[in-house]
Amino acid sequence: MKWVWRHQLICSFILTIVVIFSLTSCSTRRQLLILNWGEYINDDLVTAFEKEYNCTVSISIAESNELFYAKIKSGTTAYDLVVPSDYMVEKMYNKGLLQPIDFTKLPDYHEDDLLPGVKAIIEQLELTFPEARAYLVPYLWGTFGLMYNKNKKGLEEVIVEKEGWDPYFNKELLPKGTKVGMYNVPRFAYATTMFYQEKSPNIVTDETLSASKKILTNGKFDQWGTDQLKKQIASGNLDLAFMYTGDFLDQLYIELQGGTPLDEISFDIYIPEATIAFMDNLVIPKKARHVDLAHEFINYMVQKEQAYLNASVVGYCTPYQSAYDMIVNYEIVDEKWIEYFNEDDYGKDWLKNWSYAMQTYYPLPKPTDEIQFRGTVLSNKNLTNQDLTRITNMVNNAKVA
Amino acid sequence: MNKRFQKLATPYLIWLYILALFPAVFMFGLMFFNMEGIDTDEISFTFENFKQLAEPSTRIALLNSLKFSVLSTALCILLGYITAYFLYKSHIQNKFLVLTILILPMWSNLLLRTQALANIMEPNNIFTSLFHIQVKEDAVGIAGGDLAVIIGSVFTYLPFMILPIYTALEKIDPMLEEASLDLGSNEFTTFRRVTLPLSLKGVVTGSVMVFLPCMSGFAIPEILGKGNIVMIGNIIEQFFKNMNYNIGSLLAIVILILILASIALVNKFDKDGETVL
Repeated sequence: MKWVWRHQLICSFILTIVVIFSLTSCSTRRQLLILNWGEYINDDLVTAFEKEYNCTVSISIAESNELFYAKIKSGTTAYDLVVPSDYMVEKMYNKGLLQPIDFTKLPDYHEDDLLPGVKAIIEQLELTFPEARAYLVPYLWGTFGLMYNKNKKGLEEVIVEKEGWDPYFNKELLPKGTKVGMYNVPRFAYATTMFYQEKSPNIVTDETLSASKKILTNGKFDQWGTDQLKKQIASGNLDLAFMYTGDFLDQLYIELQGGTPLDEISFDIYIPEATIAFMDNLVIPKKARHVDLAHEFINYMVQKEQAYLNASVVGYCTPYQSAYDMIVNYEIVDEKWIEYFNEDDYGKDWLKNWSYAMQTYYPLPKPTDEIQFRGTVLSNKNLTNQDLTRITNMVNNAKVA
Repeated sequence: MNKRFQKLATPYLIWLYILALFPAVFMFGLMFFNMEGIDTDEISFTFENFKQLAEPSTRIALLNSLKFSVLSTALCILLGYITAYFLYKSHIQNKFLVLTILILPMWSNLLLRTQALANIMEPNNIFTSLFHIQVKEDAVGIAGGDLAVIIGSVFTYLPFMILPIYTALEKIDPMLEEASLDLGSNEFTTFRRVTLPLSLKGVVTGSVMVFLPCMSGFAIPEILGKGNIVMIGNIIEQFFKNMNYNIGSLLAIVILILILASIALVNKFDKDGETVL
């Protein structure tokens, strides 16, 4: 009797497992596995793509380039698409983790349609990674800047007049009681001190490290944070901080969509001439199992209207001139977009404000501009892991000093 | 104990081996290597990682962790004992309800609670915006300082102190106190010589339960200290994020040793071994 009971138990256990597995994996539809950043895609586009191409798109999230790398390297899940930043594409390529993109399968991708800033970033990448163009399709890009509280008397004038870095690191130049925040990623903090000294952020030596430590210590930062910084400035608890321009725009969009008119917004951002620029890219890992579907997805996302819609959910900039023009020339945009970006969901004048934001914070260079592109791409090409550890320790030592 | 019931502990033992013992041994091994993530491509044997212990930031972070855990535990003992004692002595009908209310904050997410606390500690907070209070421009909040972190830790871990103390108090036979009073002790002497010694086991259990998470935690100092207060947990998190599992493991093993040492210390005082292990 006991024997029978035990076998029944084992059998039913196995049966349950089989049923569970067949329920989850036995779908006849094609499946696309994407590894992306959090809140970095317009979900409406994903749904539309699934419907149009009769497939399921499943998106996993990772919060840093290093995690992207670890997940692709370990290969436990065969992702079909990943969205790493510039330097990480280079590293993945060097480790043989990527496959070249078949541009014949991307009829809607036109390299001449890329914005000047994006072209400049790709050219910067090509200095150390000549094959870059064959392995990536730009997804979104942006810069870093100094977000500040407009209500703090005298702050805006100092930041704009002295062009950012000097007042940022010297509290005596700032109005009394200005609270300053630093982005809590050692690599970024180090880069800011290098810009301040008018040096390249991609060099690490004993001298630059000790100079950087001194600068960070003298900075006497009131807060070290990441996503919190923008909210702190918006609520008036912080006056100045270094962050992604996209962080600032996220906060701006929240306020605008919440009904605050543009001229009543209490914060703004100053983008120094020397700052970090970055570009996130769609790349296909070597181990991808749905390569054709991945190409179809890329081709879908680079289409003008899709790129336009995708840029509306984040504070970063679309890499495509055609989509950029659609945002900027909001007065002549198709009727259906006015309906899509309705007042209930997006607040009053969304299209107008969006256009303003793009032109102000991701401006196109004028032909007369001396500098056609602002920002340096962080490259870890010449940095060893020991260098990265030294940067981390240097920043921590500055914090506790 | 019935042998058949002992078998029920097997899943837990397997759990313990897979999720606690194995990773600890693995981390111990990682300390002596240099590699990227858990990637065996460019692995090399090294003692370089131990240099990390000489970094000023590591030393200060360890001291910070110790300082904040000891202070928070002491405050929790004080507040927790008073609360538990008065609850035990009171004539409230439904003590269970009171205890439930005490642990009620724990039903919400820890990070959310800490973020909310951080907001209240800022000069411009939810109340000033709700009631449209004009805040002075140079107003400073307590967020970002030592006090904020201690308040946060005590607020979060106090229930872990109250519950074991209360349980220990409830276990005391009331006749012991009556006997003490009958034999001529006053209320205070009875507390000092009967109740307190008998409830100390609860205090020890509670202390361990508060001290351990304080020692290794990183979310509370990060949020309430506004990134200014560096604890050892923060540094470990940073190294793991940078894919430097080797130095991360080394530091994790260091706290593990500290924690084991403190448990050993507790065990020395508590020879029955009833409280912790």
